[in-house]
Amino acid sequence: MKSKKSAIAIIAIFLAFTFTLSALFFIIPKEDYSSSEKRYLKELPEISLENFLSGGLTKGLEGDANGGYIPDHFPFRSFFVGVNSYFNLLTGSTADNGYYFAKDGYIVTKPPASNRSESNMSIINRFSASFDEVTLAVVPSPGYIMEDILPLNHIAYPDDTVYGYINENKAPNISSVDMRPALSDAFTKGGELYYHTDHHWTTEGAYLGYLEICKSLGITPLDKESFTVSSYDNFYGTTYSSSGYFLTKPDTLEIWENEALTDITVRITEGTDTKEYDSMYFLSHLEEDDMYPVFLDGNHALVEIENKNVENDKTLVIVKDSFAHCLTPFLSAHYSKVIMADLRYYKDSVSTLCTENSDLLFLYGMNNFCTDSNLAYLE
Amino acid sequence: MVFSSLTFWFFYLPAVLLVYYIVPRKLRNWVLFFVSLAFYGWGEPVYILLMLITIAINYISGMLIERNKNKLHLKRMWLILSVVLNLGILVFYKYSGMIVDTINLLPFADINFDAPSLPIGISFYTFQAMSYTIDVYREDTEVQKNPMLLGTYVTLFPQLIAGPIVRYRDVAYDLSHRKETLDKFSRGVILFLVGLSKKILLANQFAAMWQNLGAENAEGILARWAGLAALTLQIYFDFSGYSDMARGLGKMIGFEFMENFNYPYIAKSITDFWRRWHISLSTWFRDYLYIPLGGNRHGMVRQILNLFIVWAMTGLWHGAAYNFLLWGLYFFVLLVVEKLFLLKLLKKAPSFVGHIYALFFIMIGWAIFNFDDMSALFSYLGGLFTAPDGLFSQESASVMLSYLPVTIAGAVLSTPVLRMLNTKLQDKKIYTPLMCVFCILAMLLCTASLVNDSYNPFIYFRF
Repeated sequence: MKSKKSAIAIIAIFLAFTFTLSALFFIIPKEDYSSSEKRYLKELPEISLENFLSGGLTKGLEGDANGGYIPDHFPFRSFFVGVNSYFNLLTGSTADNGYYFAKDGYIVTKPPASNRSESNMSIINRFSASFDEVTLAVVPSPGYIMEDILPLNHIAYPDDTVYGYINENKAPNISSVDMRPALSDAFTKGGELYYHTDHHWTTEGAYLGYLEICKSLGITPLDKESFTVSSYDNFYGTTYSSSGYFLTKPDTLEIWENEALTDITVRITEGTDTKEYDSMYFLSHLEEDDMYPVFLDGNHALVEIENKNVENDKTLVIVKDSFAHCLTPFLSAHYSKVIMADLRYYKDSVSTLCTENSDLLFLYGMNNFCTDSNLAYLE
Repeated sequence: MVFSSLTFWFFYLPAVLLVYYIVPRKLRNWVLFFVSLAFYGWGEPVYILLMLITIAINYISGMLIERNKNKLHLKRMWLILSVVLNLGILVFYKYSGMIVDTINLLPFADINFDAPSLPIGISFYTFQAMSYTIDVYREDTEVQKNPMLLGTYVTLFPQLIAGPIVRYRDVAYDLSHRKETLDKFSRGVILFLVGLSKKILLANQFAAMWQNLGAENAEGILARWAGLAALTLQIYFDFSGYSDMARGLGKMIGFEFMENFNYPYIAKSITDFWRRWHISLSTWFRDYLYIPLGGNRHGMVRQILNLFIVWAMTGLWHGAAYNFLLWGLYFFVLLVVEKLFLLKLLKKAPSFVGHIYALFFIMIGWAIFNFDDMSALFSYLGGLFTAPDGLFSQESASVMLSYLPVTIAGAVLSTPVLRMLNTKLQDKKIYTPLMCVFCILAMLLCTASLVNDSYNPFIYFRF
């Protein structure tokens, strides 16, 4: 440096930054849980000579992609994650982060890297052979319906290919619900069908899906006017937390209530443990950043919904991913019993859930339909 | 421990600087010795022992050579013993697996052998330690009677893991007489942050780009070349970034280490490239292998043989696998061809010819460097010159486009443009504020990237 002053300025900046952050690391109280990552943060590894010599101490401190004590508890952690995301956005190098930063404050999941839809289709074909009629509903990718808002440099979504394949290769007793026209049309008219900050569809989007599914199941749907809508602000979903675009505005989540859905029993089974509730809406999740689990308490192996207002003795079995959670309440208005099985967690027989008087519906988001390998457990 | 980690930057470094500057001057080398051992032992504590053995071997041989200064055969014997021990350790830990695998290729051989895990930095510190003993033998430097000082030299944490390979004689004076100054420290800060930014903001991006456009993922000939360009830039920014950080850290504690990279990708020939790439390694091989073999003093044939040996060794130094040997010999062939006639022709041609020629062979070289599986290498090389899958696929185009800005930045920054700008602005008033802004931005963005590495939300979490 030319002058002593300049040298001191630079040294001061460096030392201040370094020492402040390391001091804050020790001063700021440590959190146990990260709600945006939905995981427990790493604990201080055992400090002993033995653990040091085995390398466990250093690994525990530094960690890896799944977290470590030092990075997990670093001061201003989410600020830095945000800085990193926006800097990468600024330089354009976002090929790896999995999300498009789209117009109007939408964060949109990129197309899946793999495509197992053909093998998933053939599994469904095989399984459906012992049924009279089966309905398959694949929810279009948000990026497919909302292509207009994506950045110019994006790759194509597989939706057209997958729908084409389904229509050509499905067994004759399967009817495929094509939601593309209805959703695209509603989107151009300004409908909010998918969340800005979450990979799921909104209740409004799910209602449109419900109308299409009803056509296939031969049901007269509930009228849109018959619902009372309650809205909840400040929903920060999964694409918000994963992408690190922390300046994005939160979503509003809607619950559509109906008189036909007032006398409900929900039974949730995990392993051998079954719990009973009297509502499909788990309002405690509205206190969290990610509110989507308000619908049927999020992901569970097996969920049974009994509607005592319906006396048709019919059962609907839904094999599904989480796109079903906000749609199923609509369908439960037409069946005395709805059973949802999530093959990611439910590894028992699906056919034993079905009786003579039951309908069968497969309901998946496009992304999971292309990537999920758990349909192999279908039996 | 690596420099580009939160652990190093925010915990190890502040602790070291604090202790180093608090203790009286005469204790500072002790501090460096112990913190360097801690730095080395951070990942694999057992190998501290190996490092201490290397120090002991070279300390004792240095003393014995000095004591037998006038008895040439004894002096030579101690040198040979020390070289054999140094290389023996290196060969055992780095090459035994490769050697056994090679022997097992023979039909009758079936040796069962678990190769030891590679102690990090062993190739670097072994070469450093050897330079000391050989220089004592040649009387190019004084013997070091204080084992702690020699230990400090061998273990010095800035260059311990990835160089530069500092010769003992170059730091002998600094070891006991260095002056820490504000000026040096501030330059050190800037150099450290330059290196950190090279590694984190550039090399890591190119690594991701190479992942996306690498061997299996690139569809189309243009995509494969873009991938190879990413690899080329990644290796340079990674390695030179590490050297910059090492030199910067050295300055913070008063040492001056040699420059290790001098804009290698603006080379006009392969000969020129190797004067600019990993200079401390080429210098080491020149001083301690090529010249002792006779260099160019015994006629053309002998010189070519010497070059062959040097480049085979240079290749193998980079890794215990045949592709590294091939990579070294590839450069041997190019260098000999240049020596025989090509260099003269290149001098007459317009300079862009030389640049394109050099860059082309450098890039192909990195492909050889990268694939340790020969069939994968040859199918990749084939893909660079044939296009059964067209120019690029939609996916590849999207990846190329999203990395285009950083690729352009990388290409520009591999030329001396910033250095020229630096010289121009140095005397201007704006220089200090500019440097301060650079430091703040670099620290913010590098920390952000390091913190982000562990940020990993679970989308399909179950309550």
